[in-house]
Amino acid sequence: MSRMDTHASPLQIVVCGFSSRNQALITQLFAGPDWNDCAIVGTGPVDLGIVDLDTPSPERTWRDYRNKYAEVPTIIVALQEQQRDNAYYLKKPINPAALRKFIDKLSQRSTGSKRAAAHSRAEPVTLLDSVRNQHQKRALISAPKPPELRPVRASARAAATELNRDIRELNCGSSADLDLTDASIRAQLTYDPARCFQRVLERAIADARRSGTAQEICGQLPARLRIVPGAAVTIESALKTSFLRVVSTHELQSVSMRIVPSPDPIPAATRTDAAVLLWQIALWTARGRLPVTIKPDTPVRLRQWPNFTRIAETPHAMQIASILTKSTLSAIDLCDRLKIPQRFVFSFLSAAHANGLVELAPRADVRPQVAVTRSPLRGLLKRILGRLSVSEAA
Amino acid sequence: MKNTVNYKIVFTGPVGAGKTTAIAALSDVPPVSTDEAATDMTIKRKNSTTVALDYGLMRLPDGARVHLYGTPGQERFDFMWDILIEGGIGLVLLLDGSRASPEKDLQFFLKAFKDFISSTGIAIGVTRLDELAQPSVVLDRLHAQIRNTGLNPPVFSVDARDKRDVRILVKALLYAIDPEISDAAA
Repeated sequence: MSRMDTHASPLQIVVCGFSSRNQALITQLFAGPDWNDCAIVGTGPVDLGIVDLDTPSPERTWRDYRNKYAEVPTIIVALQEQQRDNAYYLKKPINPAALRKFIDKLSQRSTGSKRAAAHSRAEPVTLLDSVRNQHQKRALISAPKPPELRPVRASARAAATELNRDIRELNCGSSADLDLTDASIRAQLTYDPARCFQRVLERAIADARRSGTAQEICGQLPARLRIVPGAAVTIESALKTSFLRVVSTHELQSVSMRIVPSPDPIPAATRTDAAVLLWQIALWTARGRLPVTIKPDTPVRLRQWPNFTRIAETPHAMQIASILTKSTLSAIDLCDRLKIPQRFVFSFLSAAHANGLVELAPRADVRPQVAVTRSPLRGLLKRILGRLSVSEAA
Repeated sequence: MKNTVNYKIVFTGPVGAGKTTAIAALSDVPPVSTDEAATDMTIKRKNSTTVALDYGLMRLPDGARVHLYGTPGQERFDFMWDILIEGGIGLVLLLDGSRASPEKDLQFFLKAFKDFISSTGIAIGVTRLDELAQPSVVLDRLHAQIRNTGLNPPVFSVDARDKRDVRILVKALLYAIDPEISDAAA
């Protein structure tokens, strides 16, 4: 049953990618008595999108949809799990109760509480237990909150902002800046990738690359994950994204995972560029911390810009990349210079380091160089940047 | 009559790299394109090609205009390039990753626009990588070649039809020119 304010204007929903038969079915569903607060629209302002990606060309369907509705909160329906920006996945066949729940959730998120994205300092536990606990916790957290009556459209718009904040917290944590003059506090901002799934994945990628044979990560995984070498390494996986995220946030028991040669492809697996997945895993693992191998005051440099059109972009990532491809600066100096929270710098460096893009400079040998000059066009550049950001949100 | 302030971003690259499409993805007005039926070697890659220039426009909230100019891809029109870059704030280079040697194209365009790049900035988008089995290999090769030039610009895989990709590329150009412009979206 709907939890939304039925006196407010209906939620304007656009549907895309459906076959004519399925579109007729979903239109019929929305015409039912429980769906008075929703209206399927063809033009005009839209609060929410539902996209069927089981089309002959799902990438094109998604691209065309996003070109038209750039930041609209979206529910993707498909047979296979889909991971896209600013979108929830709902498995087909569509369960009306589940769809209702998703719509309620998206329209009520602005009243929701903070998500569990802060640093967790969990003791090592068995992986499946921790994943199970996380799923239970997440289910509780994400259950729709009692409604706060407000205009539905404003609420759905706020959902996009809230969703972006949630993703940001999952990738960068939510810790406040720490006073790094205190050595005991410094320890809190580092993590050891060697105790995390991130390192297992790094090793498996390196093994596949070195041996030229496909490798598989075994042990405590509910589905297969296979690393396929080549000029570019790809990852085949039947694991759900939500599982990978939870695995990344926990310390692993020793010898809980092993890497073995794997000649057999995984049927119906999703394929991802290894660098893209490793970037994301490193973000989930770091959650705003630095790996122990990067000291906050060690000058670092970026070998090259990451491929920002394909990786998960974190706040201020382009600024950081631009400065570190021109200059050598420590993480702390970078925070001071850009006046941005530590967690954004640390997250970026963690992911870039996992992908081999960070070069460490011994502090004794290299003095920080700053080869960045202020552009006389800074005001104009800011306005163009603002214009591009507005276009994204439109 | 109020004076309108005008600026310019230049898009360049070889034939078929997606300059026309990328400009259309950003423009506030229907882009102007001077495409004609291809009669030369271009016909191997597409049926029509830009013979003079592509033009699009972004309007800023303060009334200023950013003109988006695309250079014609064929080298025989390179006499126009110097005219088009005059007063430009930066260069977007689009390379077709499916061509036999995008590295040669890269070398050619970096040389052709050397002075403009050194006085402004550059962002490089590599298109048509989805047609390749292992797209990141092309990016790695291009990065390796760029390192030899002493530059370290953004190099991204780009689908010119995807507005998000084109916006990210142009944003990277802006940050490459001045990293300390504030990130309104962050």
